[in-house]
Amino acid sequence: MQPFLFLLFAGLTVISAVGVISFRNVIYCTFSLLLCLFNVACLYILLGAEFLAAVQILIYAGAVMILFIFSLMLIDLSKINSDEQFHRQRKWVIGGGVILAVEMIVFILPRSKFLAGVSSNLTASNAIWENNTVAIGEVLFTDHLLPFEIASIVLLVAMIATVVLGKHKISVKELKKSVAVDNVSDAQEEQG
Amino acid sequence: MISLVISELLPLVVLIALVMLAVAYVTLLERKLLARMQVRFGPMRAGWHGLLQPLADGLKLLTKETILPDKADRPLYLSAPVVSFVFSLVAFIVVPFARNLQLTDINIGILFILAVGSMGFFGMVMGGLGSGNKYALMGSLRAMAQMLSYEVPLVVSLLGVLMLTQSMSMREIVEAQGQMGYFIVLQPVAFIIYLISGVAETVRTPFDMPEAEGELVAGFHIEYSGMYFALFFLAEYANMFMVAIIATVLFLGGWQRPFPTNEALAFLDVVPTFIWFGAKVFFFMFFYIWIRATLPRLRYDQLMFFSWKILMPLSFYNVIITGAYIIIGFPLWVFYILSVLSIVGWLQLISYKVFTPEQAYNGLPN
Repeated sequence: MQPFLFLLFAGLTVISAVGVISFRNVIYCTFSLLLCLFNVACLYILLGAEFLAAVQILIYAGAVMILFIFSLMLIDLSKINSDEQFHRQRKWVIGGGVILAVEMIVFILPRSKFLAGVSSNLTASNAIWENNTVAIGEVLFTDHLLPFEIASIVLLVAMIATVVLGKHKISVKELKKSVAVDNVSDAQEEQG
Repeated sequence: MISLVISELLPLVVLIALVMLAVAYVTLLERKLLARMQVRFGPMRAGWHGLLQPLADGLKLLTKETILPDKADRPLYLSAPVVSFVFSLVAFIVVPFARNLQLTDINIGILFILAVGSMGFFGMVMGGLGSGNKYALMGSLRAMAQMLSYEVPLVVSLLGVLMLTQSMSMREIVEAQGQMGYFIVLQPVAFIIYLISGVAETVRTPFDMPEAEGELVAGFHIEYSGMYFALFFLAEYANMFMVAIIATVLFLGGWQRPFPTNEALAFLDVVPTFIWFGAKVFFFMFFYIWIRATLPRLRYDQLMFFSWKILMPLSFYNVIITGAYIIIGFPLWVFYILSVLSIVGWLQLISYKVFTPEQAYNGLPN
């Protein structure tokens, strides 16, 4: 059952990944990316990493994709659709793709024992971590504490930067004036 | 092989059938209750006091024509209701309906429900994008912004409970409440935040911007008819059920009897556990319908303001206070005082003129 499921999800991942770069319609590209991320999450589940799978769906397939679609809705799609894709990159893309595919078939596949590896990895990972949510938490807050904290600071900086860039600029003088105006109008409303 | 398939699939089919039945009757419950609150009778013709009304509605929708608009994007338009419907049902497999009645217990139970819920929401987006209709597009644009805003306080408010149980499995969360008492007592702030953002997640009345009838006609499902509309409709009510179930399991003790830590009430264990569960879920459903009949729709900037500037900071405060409670272990009344102080303090801060939603939204007047 597991090799079959692996082939199903891996195949869907590859097909949807190809879809991301080859669809003309940007909306289809986005939903292909969504499908691709979702299938990667399914592969995580097959590997016994269900926490990672849930987070992948919640954050990448959920929040990030929503932002993608959100920005797609706000731009003029008709211009993008008429453009030719790949432009001058076409031969480089095809050449690089062929090289990578050959490399994978010749070098990686024979050594990984292909599908036999999937099920043995699965049992191994289950044996080590009964509950890999706890495992991830422990590893994050002991061995990888510094990278974790640095990542959170980088995210915080990005968040503050977004707020600063998106905020309406207000000088202190204007602020005081508007508060005063508001107080006056409030007082008038209360009287009237 | 065949027996394996049957033993795996049969419970699933039964579960889906029961959920669908419950969802169908919730629509009747909603119509009846709304009617009562507006001094009407509601559906009375089909069956005794309208009891067969869901069946009649279903048959009507089945026999109606499915209209495909000219401008619609076929693949998106046709798959949207299916996506919405399937993902709204998948989450039910981890729900503990009674002491030993749960299809499967995975150790990321609550995270699984949230993840699946966020996928089901793409059905709404696809419907809006694929309909080729401006109202539908506006509806799904609003839905996206609203979901993104209310997902954060919703998830963060659940964090406090997860910190107390040290587990994300639905069964373990319910069992932990057998020893610690209902989490509504330990997490009152989180409970209120969850209740509010839960309504927002199901896009129901005080927060029904995506399908606001007065402005967008019907929002993202404006072009849908017949069975495709029914799928959206069922998905919406299944989501409402899910929100009520999460509230029940995480804050009201799931299938536990009232006051599970009090030995004097042990005689209540005679009542089957699924009845307690059902009663609590029913209470939340009633609550949501009640809210729909009572409160008017929020304005869009008020909606955003409420999520980002009130619910979100409060849910973060709650996580911090809960962490301190777990580590230091101060008495419960200190915990309550801190919670109340955080709410009052933040509302006081927010009520200054500089923070009013009109100014945040429009910029300052000159």
